[in-house]
Amino acid sequence: MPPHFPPRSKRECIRTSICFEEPTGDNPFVAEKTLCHGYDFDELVRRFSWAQMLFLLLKGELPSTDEDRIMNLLMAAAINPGPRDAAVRAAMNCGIGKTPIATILSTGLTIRGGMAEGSLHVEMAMRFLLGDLVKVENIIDSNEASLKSLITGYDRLVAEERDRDIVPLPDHPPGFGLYYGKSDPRAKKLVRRLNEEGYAGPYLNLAQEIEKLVEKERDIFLTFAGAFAAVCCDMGFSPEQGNGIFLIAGTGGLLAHGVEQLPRQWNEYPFWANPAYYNYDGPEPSRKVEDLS
Amino acid sequence: MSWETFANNRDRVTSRTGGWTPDGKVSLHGFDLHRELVPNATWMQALALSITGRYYPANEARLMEAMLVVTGYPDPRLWCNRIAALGGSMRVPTTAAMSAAMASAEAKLYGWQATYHAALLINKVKLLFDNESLDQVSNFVRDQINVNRALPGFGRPLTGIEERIAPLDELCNTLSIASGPHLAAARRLEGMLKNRHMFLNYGGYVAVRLLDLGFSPVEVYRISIIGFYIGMMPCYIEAFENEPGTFLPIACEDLLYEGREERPLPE
Repeated sequence: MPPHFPPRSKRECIRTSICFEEPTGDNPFVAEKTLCHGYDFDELVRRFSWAQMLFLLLKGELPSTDEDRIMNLLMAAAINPGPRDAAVRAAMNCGIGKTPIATILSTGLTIRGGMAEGSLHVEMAMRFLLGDLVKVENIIDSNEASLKSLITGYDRLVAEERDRDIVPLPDHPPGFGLYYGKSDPRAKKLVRRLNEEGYAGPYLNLAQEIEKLVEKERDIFLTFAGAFAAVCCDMGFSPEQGNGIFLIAGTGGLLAHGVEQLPRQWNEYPFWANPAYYNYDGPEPSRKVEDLS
Repeated sequence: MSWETFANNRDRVTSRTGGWTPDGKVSLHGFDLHRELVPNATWMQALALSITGRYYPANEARLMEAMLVVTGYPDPRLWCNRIAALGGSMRVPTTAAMSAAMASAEAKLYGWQATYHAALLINKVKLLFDNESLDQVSNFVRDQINVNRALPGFGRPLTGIEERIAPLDELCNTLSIASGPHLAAARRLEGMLKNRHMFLNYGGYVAVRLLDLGFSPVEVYRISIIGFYIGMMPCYIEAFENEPGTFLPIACEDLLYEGREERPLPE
C-alpha cells in the first residue's frame, strides 16, 4: 500500500513490536487489517479467548494448553477480592456517589495498585523471588543458607533504603506476611488448586521453601499476592506485567460491586456519622494565624 | 499484628489532623477552618498547612504558589498535558481527565517522583559537603550518574535552557527570601557538573527551595503534585471543544512496526 503522507523520521513514529495496522486504500486512519504479534487479529478473535489473547499481547506467543489453564485459574482466583477489600470499597464509594463508570473502575484500580497486598506488592514480590531486589545468582537453585541470606539481605535493603521510593518497601519480604493477623487462606487455596492441576513451577516451589523459613523464624506466611507473584514468575511474566495482570484480574469485582451501588440512596451505605465513631486526638482548634504572623 | 488490632479499629476512625462534626465545626492542624483559616489564610497557606502541619508566612506561601504557576505550560505536547488533551478529545468528564493527567505526572522521568528523588539527592549531597571531602562528594556523584545515567534535579531533555528558575529567583529577592543551605549545596554541585553540561532544573530548584523552607523530601513531593495543573486545564478544554478524536490523530503509517512478520495461527 503506497503511503498517504510524506515519510517521517523514526523519532516521530510510534514504535511497537506488538501491533501492525494496514490502512484501507481510501482512508489512512482506518485499519483494514491488523496483526497482533504477527497473527491476524480477526482470526485471533474468532478462535481464541480473552485470556489467551492477553497472554499473547504480553508475551508475544500464544499460551500452551497448560499455560492457558493456569492463567485462567490465576485470574479467576483474583477476580473478586470482595466488598471488604479496599479497592472494591473505593469502587463502591464511587458507585454510591453516582461517579461515572470509568472513574469507578480507575479509582478501584488505583487503590488496588498499592503496596499493601496490592499490585505493587505483587510486582515487588516478583522482584524478590526473581533475585532482583536482593541480587542473587541462580536463585532457583538456592539452598537453605542462601535463602536465609536472601531474607537478611532484604532486611538490610529495607533498613538502608527505606525512603528510596515514595512508597516504602514492606517490612517483611514482599509476598510473605499475615492476612488479618493470620496465614492467608486464599493463598493456601490457590496453591492447593494449582497442585490439584498438577502444577509445580520452580518459583512457586521457591516461594514455598522461603515460607518454611519465614514461618519458623517470623511466624509469617506466603500471602495471596505472593502466590500470585510466584506463578507469574513461573509463567515468564516480567514484574511490571505481573503487576498489571493482578490489576486486570480484579476488575470484574470492582465493576460488579461498584455498579451494584449506583442505584442506591446515599444512606444505604455506611457513613459512620455517629460522632462516637470519630476519635480525634490532635490539638484543640485554638491556634491563631495572628500569633504566627 | 493480630486480628484484635483490626477489631479495635472497627467502627473507629482516628485522626491527629482534624475533622468535621455534623454541627458544622471543622478543624485542621489546630486551626478552626471557618473562623481562622477562611478569613486569614490563602489557599496556598492552607494547603501547606494540610501537608506539613506548619503554617507558613505569606511570603513563603507566595513563593510556593509561584512555583506552581511557573510550570503551568498550556502546551499539549508535554507528556502529562497530552493526557489531559486526549481526555478532552475523547470527551472524558473534566474531573476524570484531569485526575488521569495528574496521575500521569507521577512520572519518574520528568514528574514528581523525580522531584522527590532530587530532594533526597540534595539532602545527601548537602550532608556530604558538610561532613566529607570534596573527593567523596565527587565519587558519590559519579557513582550516581554511572548507575542511573542521570542525576535527579539536574539536566533537561530537548533543551539546554531552564527558563523557570530566574523568575523564581527574582521573586525570592522581592519577597526577601534568602538562599538557604540546600540551594547553596545544589549550586555547588551544579558547578561540579559543568563539564557534563548538567544544570539545576525546575524540579531540583523547587526541591532545594522547599527543603530550605523546612520541607522533608516527601513533603516536597506532596506539595509539588499540582504543579502542572494550570497548563493541563486549557489543554483539556481546547481538545474538548474541538472535533472529537482530532487531537494529534495517528495514521496507520505513523506506527513503526518492529515485530514479527505475518504468520499462520497454530491449528
